[in-house]
Amino acid sequence: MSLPKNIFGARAAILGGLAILTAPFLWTRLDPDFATGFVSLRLVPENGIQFLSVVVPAALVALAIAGLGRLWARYGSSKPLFETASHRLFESPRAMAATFAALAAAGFVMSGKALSLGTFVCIHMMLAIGLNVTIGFTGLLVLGYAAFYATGAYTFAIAAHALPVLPTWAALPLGFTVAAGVGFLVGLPCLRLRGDYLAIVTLGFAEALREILRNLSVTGGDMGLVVPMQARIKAIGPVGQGHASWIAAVGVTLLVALFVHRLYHSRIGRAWIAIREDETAAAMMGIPVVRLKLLAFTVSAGLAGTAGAFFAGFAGFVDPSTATFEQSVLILAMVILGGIGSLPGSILGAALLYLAPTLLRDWFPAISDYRLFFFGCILVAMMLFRPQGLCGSPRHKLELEGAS
Amino acid sequence: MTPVLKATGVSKAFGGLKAVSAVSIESHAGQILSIIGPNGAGKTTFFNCLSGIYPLDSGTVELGGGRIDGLAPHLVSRAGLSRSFQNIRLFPEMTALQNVQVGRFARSPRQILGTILRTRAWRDRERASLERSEELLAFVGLGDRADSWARALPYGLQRRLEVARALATDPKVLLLDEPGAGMNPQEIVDMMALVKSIARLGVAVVVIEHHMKLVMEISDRIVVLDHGEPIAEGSPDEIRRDPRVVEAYLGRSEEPHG
Ligand SMILES: Nc1ncnc2c1ncn2[C@@H]1O[C@H](COP(=O)(O)OP(=O)(O)OP(=O)(O)O)[C@@H](O)[C@H]1O
Ligand SMILES: [Mg+2]
Repeated sequence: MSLPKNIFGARAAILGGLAILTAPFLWTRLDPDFATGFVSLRLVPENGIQFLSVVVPAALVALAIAGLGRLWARYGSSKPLFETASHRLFESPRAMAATFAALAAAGFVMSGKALSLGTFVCIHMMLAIGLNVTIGFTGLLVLGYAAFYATGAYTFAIAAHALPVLPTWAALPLGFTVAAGVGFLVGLPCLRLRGDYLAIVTLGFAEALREILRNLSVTGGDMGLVVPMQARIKAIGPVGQGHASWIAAVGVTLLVALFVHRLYHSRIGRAWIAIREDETAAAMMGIPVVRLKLLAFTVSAGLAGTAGAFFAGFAGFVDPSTATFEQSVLILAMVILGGIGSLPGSILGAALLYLAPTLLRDWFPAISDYRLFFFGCILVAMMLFRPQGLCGSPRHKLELEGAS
Repeated sequence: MTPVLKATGVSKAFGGLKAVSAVSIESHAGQILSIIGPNGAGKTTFFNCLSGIYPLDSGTVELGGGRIDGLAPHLVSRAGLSRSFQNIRLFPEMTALQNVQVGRFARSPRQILGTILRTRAWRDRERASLERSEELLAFVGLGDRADSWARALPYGLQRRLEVARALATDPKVLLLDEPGAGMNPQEIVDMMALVKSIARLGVAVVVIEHHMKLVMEISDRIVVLDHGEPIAEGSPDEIRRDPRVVEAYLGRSEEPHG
């Protein structure tokens, strides 16, 4: 795809114009003086500087990603670079083993802070990979994905309290099964209807779930729950707790990616894409559309549950913030940023977006206070300059309507 | 000989507009039945009724002796009816080969665990589905375009790809909605040869087509629709001589789209 260059310029001009138009509101304040009745205009540089210190790094991140995407798109002809690399990796058990070994060994030279950061990146990779199954492959919008993350996390925390013999590894099957079951029940009524009920219903479900988690005693209310020691990830011999978590996170992330890769390259994955591309034509090919949408959403929910349970076993506590709207938006932004429908895109998108605020925080402290705004700015900039994301092909777009 | 597809008294109205009124057809294995009629005659609507996309107002559709009216499209497809679309409806972000493989969906067994573990049985069946799809691509003349994106194929080849995809569902009946639309004269002749060779495989073919000369050449029987109503049915020779047809259709213009 070759966009004429002046479009790039025109978009920059629109952004610049917006900045100039909003400037008076950001940089100044009207101060009424009640004694005299006069209103005076006062300059307040703090607001404007804070605003810029969120917008500028966001634009920088987006531009860097857009630039990378364009650069790589120039080399990939029909199969972009990342897709090819990811395909090779997940088709070869040996390459996967080598990747795992290399990353696990790298843990020996990583600081405790880096190990914990890396583990969180992996958890978000699992989430982005999982959400991409519904949004990217099947073309269904989900707005409250964090609900299933919280479901997995709380399931494991509560189970570990109820069953003191529960081993740590049980988190994975337990988180997957319970969240997938909940996903199935939430998806069943809305996927039978044509249209985008799933987006709204999941959003409502996430908000409701968070309120429930905050108000039940079994979930520990606002404080959340502490996961019993025996169910947490522990140090093994010379490998410390942080390092063990990192190794487990890398392993689980690779397994999750392999799982999705294999589904994608099968009749099920092809049916998902067919539904996204043209629902009626897909049905005419013998595909039970409702059942396959439900399968996609159930798998998605299950993977979020896996990530949630892993988080509980790693962090040692769970609280209602796992189910916030901010968390859902963060995962959605990772998928969009990486390229909707692309497995390597989800992986890279998660890494970039999770690391960006952390790495930029030292220079732009305002980011930590306005995280949601920061992600929003990145997304807006990406939509303007590279709507298909880092790895996506130009036509992968978020479809809000089923084909009629 | 019993027909493979038997539609009886099929009717469909949109509000006050009777798009299809009491149309009946019988389609036999290995034969080509053509449906002709002026623009807006209700031909496409009739196909949508047969394939389960629209519910019928009245009438019945039988396929191989079993009722298929009232079934959802994916069940109609499983029962053995497949189709192409007048406005091409491929899966644009998939390769030509993948498009055809989607058509194999219902004909390959369900194996979720096998898919994840990549068992030998799964690989064997995946390979079988792949080989069948490649065969079909070659059959429609797209053997060398397997890895092209569907959206990147030239128009004429997209139409052929749609035919291959429809054949991948192993249909007993194949409905083709204007397979030659938008093609140049040579491509149309080639397409009609392809339609004939599909019938020779033993598939019951129903074709909507505007090009009179070709319709007369390839059809075993012809049904003429006008304003949703069947106004004539017979062999090409009978249709050519039927005064109502000449008036309703041929009389107005020799080749409405040509
Ligand atoms: N979904 C619909 N809703 C309302 N009216 C419709 C719908 N589909 C078709 N029609 C109307 O029904 C009539 C028959 O349309 P149809 O598409 O079946 O004709 P056709 O014979 O296929 O014509 P063409 O040769 O142009 O393809 C037309 O008057 C059309 O406007
Ligand atoms: Mg038509």
